[in-house]
Amino acid sequence: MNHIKDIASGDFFSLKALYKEHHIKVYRLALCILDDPFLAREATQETFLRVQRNADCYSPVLSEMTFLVGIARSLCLDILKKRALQIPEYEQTKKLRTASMTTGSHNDFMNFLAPLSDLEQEILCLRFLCELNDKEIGIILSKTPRMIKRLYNQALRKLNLTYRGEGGDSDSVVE
Amino acid sequence: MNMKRMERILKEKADHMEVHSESFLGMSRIHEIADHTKEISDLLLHNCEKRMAKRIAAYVTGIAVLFLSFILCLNVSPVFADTVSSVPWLHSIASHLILHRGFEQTADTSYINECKLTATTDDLTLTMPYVIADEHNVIFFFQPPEGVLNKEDDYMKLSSITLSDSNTGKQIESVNSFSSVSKASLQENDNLFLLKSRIAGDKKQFPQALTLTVSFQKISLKDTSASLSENGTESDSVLNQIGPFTFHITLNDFVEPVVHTLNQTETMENQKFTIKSLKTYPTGTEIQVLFDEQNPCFISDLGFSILSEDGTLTEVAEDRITSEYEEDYSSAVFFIESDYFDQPSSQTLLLTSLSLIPKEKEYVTIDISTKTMTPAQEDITLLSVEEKDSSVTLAFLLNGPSVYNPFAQYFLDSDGLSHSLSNSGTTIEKGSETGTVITTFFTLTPPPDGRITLRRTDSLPIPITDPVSITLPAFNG
Repeated sequence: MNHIKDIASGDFFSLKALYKEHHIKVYRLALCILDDPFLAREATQETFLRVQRNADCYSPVLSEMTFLVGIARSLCLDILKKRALQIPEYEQTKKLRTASMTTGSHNDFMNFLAPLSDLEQEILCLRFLCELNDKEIGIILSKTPRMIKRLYNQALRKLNLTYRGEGGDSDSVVE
Repeated sequence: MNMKRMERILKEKADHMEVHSESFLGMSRIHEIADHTKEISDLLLHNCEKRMAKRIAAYVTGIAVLFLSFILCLNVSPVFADTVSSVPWLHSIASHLILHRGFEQTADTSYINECKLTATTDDLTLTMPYVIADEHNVIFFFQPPEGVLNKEDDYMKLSSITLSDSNTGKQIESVNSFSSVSKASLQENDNLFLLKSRIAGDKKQFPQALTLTVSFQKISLKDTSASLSENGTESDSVLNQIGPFTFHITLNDFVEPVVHTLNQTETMENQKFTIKSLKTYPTGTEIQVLFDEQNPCFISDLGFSILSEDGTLTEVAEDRITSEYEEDYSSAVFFIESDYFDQPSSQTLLLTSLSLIPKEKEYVTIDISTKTMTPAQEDITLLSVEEKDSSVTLAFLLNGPSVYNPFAQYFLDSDGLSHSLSNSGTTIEKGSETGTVITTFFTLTPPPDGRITLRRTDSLPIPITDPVSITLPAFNG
């Protein structure tokens, strides 16, 4: 069943169905990027509104989740950029963001990914929060599925090494 | 901690993240952010198409590599080519992909007796992998013993041959032909060399079970020069006897020839003849020609050329054509052999020359004492008569560029008794001023009256300006 095609034909219930099915994944991604529950909620709402407005741009070649995540990610990055322009000390913000990773349930996840590069973090977010596969992540990040798989394995190895070095069992470190 | 466990931990952490339980409001407060959805959608589609294009390119490349590997294997590995050829639907594909057509790939394998026989003498093993046979012809294919022809200058010639019926032990009177074998000729012919045996005549045919005994001589030119320079005389070690090798061969049932009746009558140089029929065998084609009794001349030979698809004319090589004449020149059978190393196909044969012997000049009388020849011949001149002891050597100049044997290998004395000629031969001298001078000679013991009569068997070929075309069909009996 393709909700977005139905949305393009003006079916509002399909928009609600799409929202119900995917909004949690979109929200979690927005939360990880924006590190602000309020902004993440707004970004999630706006993502679905944009899907509604641009449903005719959708091609069934893409999965619905790829289309949604592509829009959500772009929107979140735009919000971050705008915030950086408003606050010249954007780097300070980033540092604050990093510092804030010790609190809040959403930050457990990001905190755990802290040893990784931005790209590796993003791949793990898309894999575990949005439940995308290598092919879909590759389309969003303009990388080949093989490259995504390689970076994913590399990220897992890094995490493995990091948390084993700090005391063996990662559960005891993070939880 | 293994990767699976790390994945499980990450999944648990993702599941524990706070969720946004708000239902869809249909509004947001951040719509001041520019809407790039269309661009994003285009980018995602572009990435998707790029990935698809890469995947298609990878598939195409993979298929191309597989295809090239297939062609390579077909051309490099005879075993692989054999296996592929045994698959019916692959056989026709493979036949188009083989660049260098080896014997097995080109010859029509249904007529080949794959005998794979070997015979060993003095630690040398001669292999006979194939035989092609029909009622009148047997072509033996051999692979030389290893290490015999290891130098470029080495070659091997037939030393002796005995062919007999395995069941009766009776020797078969066949005409055998063999071209000397060198390393280069082997490379051209898939490491194979041929021995051809033919028996002519409708009532004669080869038996199904044959015993062949052959021996060869290996001749090494380099060794010859070395041994001559050291010893001053030719050493026996220069000529190495190889064999004899004996093979017992059981041939498959002979395939019936395909007969094409033509009855095509032609008149050339005032000579009338009829191309009666073509008989196509796996080994070649027999052309039966009848000569008109009223002709002023005997037609002693016909010259044939093959017209290729691109229009070039190639004279049929001497070793691919044999002719068998009736004693009275009333008919002849020309056998044109197949090219076993090329794919069987129909060919256009052109009759491009004929050799004539005027009937009144069939017999030539030589008076040794006066050194004269009567009647005078147009194409030959008596060059010299040399008497030595009790024998006489006669030499004749051939008045043309072609090499042929003008006389039968016997002479008649005044009483009409037949005597054989000996030491016959031909010399060809190429001079810048004199051009090519061809002389033929033989030695005989003259009768007391010094008059001998020779019978003409061949003459100078006369080119035909408007050649007769004959289509030689490929054998598909």
